Amino acid sequence: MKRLAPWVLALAVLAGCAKNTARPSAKMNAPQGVAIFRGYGADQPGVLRPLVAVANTNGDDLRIIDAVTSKVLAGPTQVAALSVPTEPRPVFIAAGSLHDRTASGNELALPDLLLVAPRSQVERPLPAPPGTFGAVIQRIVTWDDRTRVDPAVRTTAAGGNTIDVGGTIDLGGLLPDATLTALLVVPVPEPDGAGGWRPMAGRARVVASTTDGALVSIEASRDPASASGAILLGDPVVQLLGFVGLDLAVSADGTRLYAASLDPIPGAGGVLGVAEFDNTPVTAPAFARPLSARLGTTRVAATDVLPFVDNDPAVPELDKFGAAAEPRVYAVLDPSACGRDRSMPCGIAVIDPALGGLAADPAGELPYQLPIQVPGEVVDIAVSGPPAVTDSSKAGFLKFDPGSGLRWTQSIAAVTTTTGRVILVDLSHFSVGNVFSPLLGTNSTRVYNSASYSPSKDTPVIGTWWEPVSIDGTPPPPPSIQFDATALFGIAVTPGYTNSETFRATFQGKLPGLDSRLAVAHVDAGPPSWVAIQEDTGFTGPGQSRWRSVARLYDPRLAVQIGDLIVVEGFSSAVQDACAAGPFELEVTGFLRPDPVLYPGGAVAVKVRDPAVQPKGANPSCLPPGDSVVKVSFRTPGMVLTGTVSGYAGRPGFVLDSPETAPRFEFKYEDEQALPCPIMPDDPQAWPPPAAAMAACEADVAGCRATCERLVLSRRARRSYYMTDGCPPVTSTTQDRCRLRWVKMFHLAFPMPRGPAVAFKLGLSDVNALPSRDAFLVFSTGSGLVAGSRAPSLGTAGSGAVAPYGVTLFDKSAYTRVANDGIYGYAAFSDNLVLGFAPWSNVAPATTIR
Amino acid sequence: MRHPALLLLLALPACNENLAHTQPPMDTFFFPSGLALTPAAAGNQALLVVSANFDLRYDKQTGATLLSVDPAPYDAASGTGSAGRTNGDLAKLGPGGQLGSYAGPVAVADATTCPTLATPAALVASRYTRRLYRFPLGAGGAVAPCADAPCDLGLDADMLDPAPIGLACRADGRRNSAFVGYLRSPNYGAFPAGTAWITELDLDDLGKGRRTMPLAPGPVADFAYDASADRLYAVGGFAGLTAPLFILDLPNCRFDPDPTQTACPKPSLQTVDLYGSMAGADLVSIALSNPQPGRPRRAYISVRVYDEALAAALRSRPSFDVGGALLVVDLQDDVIGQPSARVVSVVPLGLGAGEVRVLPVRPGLADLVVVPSTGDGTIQIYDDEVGAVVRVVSTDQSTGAPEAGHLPWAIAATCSPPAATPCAEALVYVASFQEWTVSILRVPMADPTSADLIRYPASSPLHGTPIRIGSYRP
Repeated sequence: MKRLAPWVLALAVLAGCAKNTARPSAKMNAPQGVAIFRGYGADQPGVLRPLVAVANTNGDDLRIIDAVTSKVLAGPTQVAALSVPTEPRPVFIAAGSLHDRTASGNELALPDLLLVAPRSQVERPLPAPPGTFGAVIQRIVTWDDRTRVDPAVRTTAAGGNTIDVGGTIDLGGLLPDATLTALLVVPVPEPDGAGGWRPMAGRARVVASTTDGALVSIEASRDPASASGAILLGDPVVQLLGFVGLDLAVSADGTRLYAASLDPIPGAGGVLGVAEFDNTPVTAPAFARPLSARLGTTRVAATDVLPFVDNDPAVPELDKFGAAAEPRVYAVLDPSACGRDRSMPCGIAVIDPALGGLAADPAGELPYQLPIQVPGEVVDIAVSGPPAVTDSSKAGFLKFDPGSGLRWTQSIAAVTTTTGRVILVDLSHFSVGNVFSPLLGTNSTRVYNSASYSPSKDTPVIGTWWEPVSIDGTPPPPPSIQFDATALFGIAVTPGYTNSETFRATFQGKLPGLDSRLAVAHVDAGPPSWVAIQEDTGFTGPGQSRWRSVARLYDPRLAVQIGDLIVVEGFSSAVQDACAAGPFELEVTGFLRPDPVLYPGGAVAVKVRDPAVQPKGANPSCLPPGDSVVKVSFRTPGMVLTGTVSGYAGRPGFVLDSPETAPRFEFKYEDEQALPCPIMPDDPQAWPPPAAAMAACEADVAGCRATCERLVLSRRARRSYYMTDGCPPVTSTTQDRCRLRWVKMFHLAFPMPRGPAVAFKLGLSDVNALPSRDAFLVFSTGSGLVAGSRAPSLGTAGSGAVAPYGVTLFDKSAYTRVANDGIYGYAAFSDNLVLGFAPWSNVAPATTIR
Repeated sequence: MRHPALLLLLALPACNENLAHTQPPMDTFFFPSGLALTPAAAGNQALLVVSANFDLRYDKQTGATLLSVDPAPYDAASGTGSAGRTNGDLAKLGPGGQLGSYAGPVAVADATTCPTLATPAALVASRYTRRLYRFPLGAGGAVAPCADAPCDLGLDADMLDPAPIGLACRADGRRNSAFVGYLRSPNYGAFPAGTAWITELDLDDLGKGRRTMPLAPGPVADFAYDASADRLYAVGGFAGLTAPLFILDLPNCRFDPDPTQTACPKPSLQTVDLYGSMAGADLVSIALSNPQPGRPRRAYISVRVYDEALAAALRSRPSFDVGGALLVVDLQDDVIGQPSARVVSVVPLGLGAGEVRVLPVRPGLADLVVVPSTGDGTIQIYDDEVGAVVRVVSTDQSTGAPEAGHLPWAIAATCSPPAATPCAEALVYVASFQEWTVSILRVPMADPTSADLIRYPASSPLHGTPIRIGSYRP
């Protein structure tokens, strides 16, 4: 016992360190949905306050968090977090105010409507027969401090089916095969007497979309007989839409409801995009019209946005905005139908309901406002306007700091994506928030290294022309060719267009994807007459593909041109002896239409290159008549520019003299609508092109293919985000450099400058000779854009930044009346946590609630 | 004071029943780790069940079993059927076979998967003996001990934990190959530990040897074969912050085990890293969509999700998961003719996502996909037509126990009846690794939301309880 005494003492001391008043942990279990509502908690009886309801999916319950303090509410025993048991696997959660007002029109603080629902069908209790499943929505009691699923029962008959519209709304009787896809609480608008709309007092509307293409609406009203403010639900009204709504959103004024869908929405020819509903009827929303997003959509949000117009040198942190906020609908585009090589880039499409489709490009360049591009696939999106309480000089705006410093804007979005982060989007500035300044500093848009390489000492080296500009009015030095590390001086980039990638300008370089490919070379007699890149599977039966790894040589996206070189360099064992002399070279002379039997991707007609340029001992006639399996590489006869992100990026030429007047090579965007290319269907799977389209193109092969090439390059050099930053006021040398670089050197016009992704004039160390094959200039570019985001941080033990799901934003200042509280957000992560985050502070730690 | 501790140490080994050389029971399942279906008599199907001998309770060399049972509901009059049979007895088809311990999934080379193969067979690998076992399938799907050599083949001695098996048999019979993946690999030559290695075997001539080849980091966890393009897909597990999908274009020839012979080239490999679509993704299992005109071919990949930052800090995979998901991946060749894979949807699942299976084709509709989750004991049905999980077989409301048993892992699916076209109803067999039983999920193809486990009828004293095949773990 004597030896044990010190340990006993130590344990006693340690035990004394423990706080017996510590809050219980939230014990989240794969939470998915979050919603803010006004309700009561047992810890502060009678105090109506904002709370966060979390659909704790794998825990089959709700957790409640104080929205202001981010503390989880404890259960009755105080040793565990409050658990509100629900039907299994709750996912959808929705809350909304009933906009109660006094007779004099003053706002009346009463608890909100809160609903929760599983994504899948759940077994229904008696009197339903055993094994009966159905979709349900559960109402939560928010009007007293014993938060729970409403046990009320009220049975009614709708559509000949008995349904319970008490605490649990059983949709199984109405829609036996359906599960929910979205759930939302919206106001019920009424005329405000001044030509506008206002929410009807004491009313709200529940709307839900289902997998069988229905829209369910349920009217909610404050129970006049309830002293505590209980909420009653009406009978569900079901409308069959003919398309499946995947997500729902309501306009800022509550008069319009929007549904995202991948299905064509009724309209002229079926419209892909978002369905708009009129939410003003007192009975139920009514389908109004489709809003085109050009593609199907998966998620949707709506708010009123004050758009950026210009920078304000007098108040750098607060730009100039439009006169009035405009309704905007944000819809996540179908990721399988968009892309760099297609007419629509991926991202979050911006819809202007006034136009009935995509919003106009604020930069006046694209046929639509560029979809907001976020890293990863979007899981959920929440939007917010300015807080109720803010700095008096910035009324109507909200603080925002994605990482590059505090600024002010009018509306933002928080987007959870598969990258495991909450991406912050500045809606008023049309783009994701940027961690860095794209104009200044080492992380700005730039070329950050370059090098020249020549396989032979006896052949010229490739460089760029550097054209200095005058700084102080004195004549600049004449242009000079720069090589290796200084070649980057001659390369121009544009914030908003230039990606982070490595470019390589190569002499007689290989076309991307067409290097050492298995191919079929067809011989009638002598040398090959056509070549197709494809591999024979040997299959001939129905439902089987004879050819695989088929490169669509006929498709302009592959960038093959007449005059390109084909190096035939690998031979099957059957012809190895005959072709023992090794590689030989062919030249493309034309394109052969896709043939489902012979060459489904099309082929190129070829001729033998001049013997003078053939490899030593080459025998282009070594292949026997018929089809032979060979390996081929396609090369350009001159220079080719390729990028690790952009792929094929054009064919720059050399500027051998008069660099001042010679045009530079530009990898840039052009008006796509002026570049018709009939042989390049927007959906790459829609192959081959219609015969008539191919015939039209072949009528002027050179002109058609030149236009197609421009279209391909234009899409690849398309803007990737709107750069709305401006050079700061001239107060230091660094800031002068901003204008020197972007305005004087690169000739960009602010705001939202337009320019090439990269541009340069190539020069040679010896103008009297050509470089060796595969001589190249390589350089790397940085976009200057890193999307501002928030993610859980657990110190060295891990981040918890795994699989975020639902996200919500709310105005904390409306409750605290503290301007610094501003807009605050909560996001659920599958890593058993909820993240609380402030879009306005990149420094203040995010709160992780586990 | 030391004596009691010594006594305790001596006593502990006595607690372990020494059955090291005991032969395994051939009338029950124990730690079922693989399920498959094969045609049986009268248009029915036989259910093949691998028992792993996971705890090495029985002989290490021969303690795992492969049994073939009639999975139909028990019919007292005829004595057929295993589901719901008294005391969990099995209606076996053939005596069954034994194999090395830590047995894994079973692959069936029969008229459906290898139409030109002379003798249908079931293939199972043992992680303990590192051998591949071949069990010829008799008429009616019966499994008997192998009588015609080769009955088992040693796999690559340098590799560890062979488990997943992929069959890649050409319809024209020009090649009938089986591929075996290894769950672990040591440093080997220039290839670091964690490299995916696969071994190819010629099912028409198993005795001729094997061909083992490396792919890339990410040991293979599962295979899927696209017969229409003769293309083999494999998913790779954790080997750093990567989630590789391997796409192998198989050659139109039979391999030569002599590495100096190049007449039949190795498969050409394309690796697509899906990690960018989901941080922390650890790929577990893959299944391909049913080919349908006008619909893109898709892969459904079950994923266990770990904490990426913790993995980076530990430089190894964390021992616990933080989530589970189903990746829906579009598989289409791009314009340059290279196979591409694009994640179009990430569907949240429960912890411990297991094997993924695609149900029979629904003409004109996208596929139904079934995935069990070992972590929470759920079975989830994903409907690709609506892009969501439409049914979760969860826990018993009164007991809180998973309705399909704890640790549901191995699954097999078929149409009911098997030859029905179109398929109106599918049956999914789900093995509980912990409880040693197999449950049966009935899925109406037109209304998957009402899928449910087959239960005892109202006339039974067990009314409402799921019917199982096999007896609960003693």
